[in-house]
Amino acid sequence: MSRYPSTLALSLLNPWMLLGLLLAAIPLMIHLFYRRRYQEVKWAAVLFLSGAVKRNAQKNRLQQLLLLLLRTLALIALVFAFARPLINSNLAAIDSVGQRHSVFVIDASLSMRCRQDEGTRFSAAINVAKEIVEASNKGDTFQLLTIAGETPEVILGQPTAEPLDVLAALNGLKCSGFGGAVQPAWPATRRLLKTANATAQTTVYVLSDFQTKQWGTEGTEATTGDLSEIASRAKLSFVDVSESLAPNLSVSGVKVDQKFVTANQQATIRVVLQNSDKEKAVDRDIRLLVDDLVVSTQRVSVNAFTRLTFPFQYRAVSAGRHRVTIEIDADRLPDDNRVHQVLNVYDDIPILLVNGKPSSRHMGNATDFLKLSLAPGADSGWKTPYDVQVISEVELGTVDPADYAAVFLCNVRQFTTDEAIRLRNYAHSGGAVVICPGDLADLPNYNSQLFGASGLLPGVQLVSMVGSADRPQEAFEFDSENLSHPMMTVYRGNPGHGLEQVLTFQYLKAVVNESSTNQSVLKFSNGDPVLIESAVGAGACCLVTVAGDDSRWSTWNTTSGTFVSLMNEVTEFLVSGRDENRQAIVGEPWTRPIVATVGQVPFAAFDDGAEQPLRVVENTTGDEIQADTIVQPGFLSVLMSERQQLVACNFDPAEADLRTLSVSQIRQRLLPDTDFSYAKASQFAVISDAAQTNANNEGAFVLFALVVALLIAEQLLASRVGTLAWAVFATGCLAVLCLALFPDSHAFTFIVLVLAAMLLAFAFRQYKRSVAPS
Amino acid sequence: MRPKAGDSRNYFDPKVLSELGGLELRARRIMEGLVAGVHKSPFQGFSVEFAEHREYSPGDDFRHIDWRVFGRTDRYYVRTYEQETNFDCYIVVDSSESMQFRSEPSALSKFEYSQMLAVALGWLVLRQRDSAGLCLFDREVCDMVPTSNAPAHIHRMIDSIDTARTSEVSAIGSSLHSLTRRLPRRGVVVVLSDLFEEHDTLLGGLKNLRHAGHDVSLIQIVDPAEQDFPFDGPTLFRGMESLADHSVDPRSLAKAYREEFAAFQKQLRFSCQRQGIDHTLVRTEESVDTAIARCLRARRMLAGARR
Repeated sequence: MSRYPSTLALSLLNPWMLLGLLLAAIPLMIHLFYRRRYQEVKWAAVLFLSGAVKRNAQKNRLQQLLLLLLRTLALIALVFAFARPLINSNLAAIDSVGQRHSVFVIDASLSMRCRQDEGTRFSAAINVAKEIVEASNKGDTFQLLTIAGETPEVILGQPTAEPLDVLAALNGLKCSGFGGAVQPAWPATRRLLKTANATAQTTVYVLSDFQTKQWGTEGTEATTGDLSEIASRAKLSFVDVSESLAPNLSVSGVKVDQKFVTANQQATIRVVLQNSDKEKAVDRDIRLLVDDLVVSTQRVSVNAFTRLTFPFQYRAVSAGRHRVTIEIDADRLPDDNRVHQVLNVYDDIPILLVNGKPSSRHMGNATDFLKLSLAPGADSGWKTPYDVQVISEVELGTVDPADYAAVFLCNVRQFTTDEAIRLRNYAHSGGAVVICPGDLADLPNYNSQLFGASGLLPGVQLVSMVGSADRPQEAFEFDSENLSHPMMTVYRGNPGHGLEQVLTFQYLKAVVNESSTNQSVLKFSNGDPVLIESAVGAGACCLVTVAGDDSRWSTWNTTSGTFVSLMNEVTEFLVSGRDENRQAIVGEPWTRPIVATVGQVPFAAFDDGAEQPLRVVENTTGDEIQADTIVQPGFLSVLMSERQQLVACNFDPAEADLRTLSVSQIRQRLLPDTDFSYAKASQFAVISDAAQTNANNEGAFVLFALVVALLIAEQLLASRVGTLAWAVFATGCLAVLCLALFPDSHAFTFIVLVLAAMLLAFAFRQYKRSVAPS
Repeated sequence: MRPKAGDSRNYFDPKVLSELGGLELRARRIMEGLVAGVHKSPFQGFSVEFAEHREYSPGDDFRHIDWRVFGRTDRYYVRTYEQETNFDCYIVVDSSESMQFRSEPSALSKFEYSQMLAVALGWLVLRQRDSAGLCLFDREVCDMVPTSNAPAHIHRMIDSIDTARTSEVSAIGSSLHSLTRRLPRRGVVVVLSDLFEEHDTLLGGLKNLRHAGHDVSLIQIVDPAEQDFPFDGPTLFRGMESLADHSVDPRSLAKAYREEFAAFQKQLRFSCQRQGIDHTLVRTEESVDTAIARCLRARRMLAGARR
């Protein structure tokens, strides 16, 4: 004998509608009222009356009882029809099959942490799963996986027949808060189904809030295909654990306007607020915290379903890496009310210029024009944030490039292998290298040391010198039209920027491998590159094919001022890129290119002491530290090779929008041609039985047909068409119509019920009038 | 309220009569109606000796037209007959509580209607110089006015019937038994009652009268509601004469009631026919003169049948 209750044969989609059973008391009340409200007559012919009563007593009593029964049954059937019964048409088949197998796919993404009237969406999902387990029969088996992060987590991979183990696994589940990727869950589910007993009746329960952004946007075609295949092997039952649209205001992003911020410089921190509620969020406090101190509080209002970008002005007084947090008051989903950002504030940005062509002439050094561009000096009236240091090429081996934000290699004759490796490692771990060869450059050395497969710019080759500074009549012009690279933003759409005036007489022809990631930032009109940029690990590298010294290769550094502006743009672009890898999304992997040292183990921990597992991975492009999954939000300090990095970890902002798909949207977007059942978690009993027993809502229509039949019988028995009967009949017809037109709308059902009550009240009044004594 | 000239039916309309207060006024009204000549010689069928001729009036039997006089005068005269012997007519009125019943649309209760009929019959009998007497009964004979042929005797009858109390239960059969013993000589006994009694008991009393040699005429007076049972909606029927109450749904009971009523009437008619008793069912909505005419017609038919 089973330890668990057997499956019910009948369940209800709208059990609260059973309150309408109170309506069944109406005929009884009418009946009693009818008996009480008699007219009184003095009567002489009692002789005949007694005889008639005696003769009719049995028949009359039976008729009255039958009428009462018919009317009461009609109302009960009507109420049950509104309660949307699900009739178990396959119960016998189940009993004969015996074993059932259930696969739980539970959404554990951030949106499932949304608080509801009782617990969270996630706890509602767990409760539904537990109820299914508790209602199982002996021998039924279960499997369990959760949707969280990039890949689903399989909790019970093998079918488990022990309910206590399944309940323990369910109790041990935690809502990770990761951004849940739905699509990978279905191949995993299919793999689980392959291990299930083929003879068991299998049901896949998908317990989720069916958040619109999670379910309705990415990979829907693949999801549709996977779900269709699952539905061909098992019954698919979707349980929606979201109660209603929860009001939620979230901080979905933060960005600093400035590419880098220096001390005492006013920085604009732009915060993106997202209101995913149908009501306007009014006068909500938003706070800016720097290093855990509230430095500014503002009050904002955000319209319904709107994103609002809100600026904070902040002036950092000291250099260093600051922890910036934006937070708003807690609401139903408190996890998305804080966003973290690392603000790297510099005193001065150290730039290293390597001079490969020393000269005693004024502006004769290879670095002179560049230095003038980046650090024009106090007399120029123009201040840049750069602290420029110039060294000779022989000193290149004695400095640590990691101390500088960028290294410019100006007309360096050649590089040793060691120098090339150090430069490459420097760039890989976040540094910026700008190669500016000139007339002294040993092209084969450059090609082998810097542009080889493991060099700074793989895929680039310097092939020859083009043109001659001695033949100014043979000049080459920049292609000033094609300026799509981000470095060229300031010139784009700005006619007269000066690039079109630059004449070049001599340059190094570089050939760029089409398959590489190198991008031409600026080209000559003949298509040869002037400026090539490439990402190298966490850093970047640039190649300038025109010498920027006094060798008269070009008029670039002497006319139009574009050399100064472009070198500043290049530097700013490369240096600002260093901070981009300081962001991570909770639940997703995170990588940071490093130069690993043998024996050194990276260590990472959050401010609250929680450790973040990391590992060092060696691949073709260099070493990386990797986190498979960022485990929590907050500031993560990563310590490696005695250097500390700070990473801001935030929840996936897409999870903040708590809007969910309706059943019709699920059908339309995910399962257009697949049978599946759907129910709210509050109607779990219904959906569990329904999913197990091929539930359908034909029961409602059967009951409505019964109502009509009962009313016809009532008419025949009473031999008259009463107001009450017509009212109930009309209500029944109306209800059938509404349910047919709006099968999923409780609101309409409720309206119809109210109409029915009104009609019955009217009928009751009419009835009272008709029986009033004359 | 005086009736309109030429509208003789107003004299006998129960509705008009009900508007007149007191039996005295109603009786006078009826007598005025009868004097107006609408109805003539109700009991002449009993006489055998020729008395005189009188002009024919509508309603007279064609058989009594004297065709020889017609041949001489070219006018219709009917032959009237002297009674061989004066007869006594006993008008027996049921004054039990059940006779008080009057339904909503009826103008007169059964007893009031009986009063009208009794007065009319008495006056008609006295008018032809026969003797008329009155007997009131409920569970027993409670008042009795001896027979007399004095014209003023009608007033005594009216007084008696007017002062009758209708509050007792009825026992028609036993009352008729008792009456039989108290009637001094044979005569015509006209019983005015609703006859709501067990058939056998009732028939016992009637048989007794017949065995005593009386010519019995039974006029059953019922309210239309008692025959039609027109009630709609739940009704509590409170039994008169201390009979049981019944709370019923009349719609579901009407058919059975009518069948019960019809069965009783059928049995009564059959029994009366066997006993040579003329029986007439009169509804209180009926005009009094029409009712009298129907009673007499039935009586003549029965007499013809007996001959």
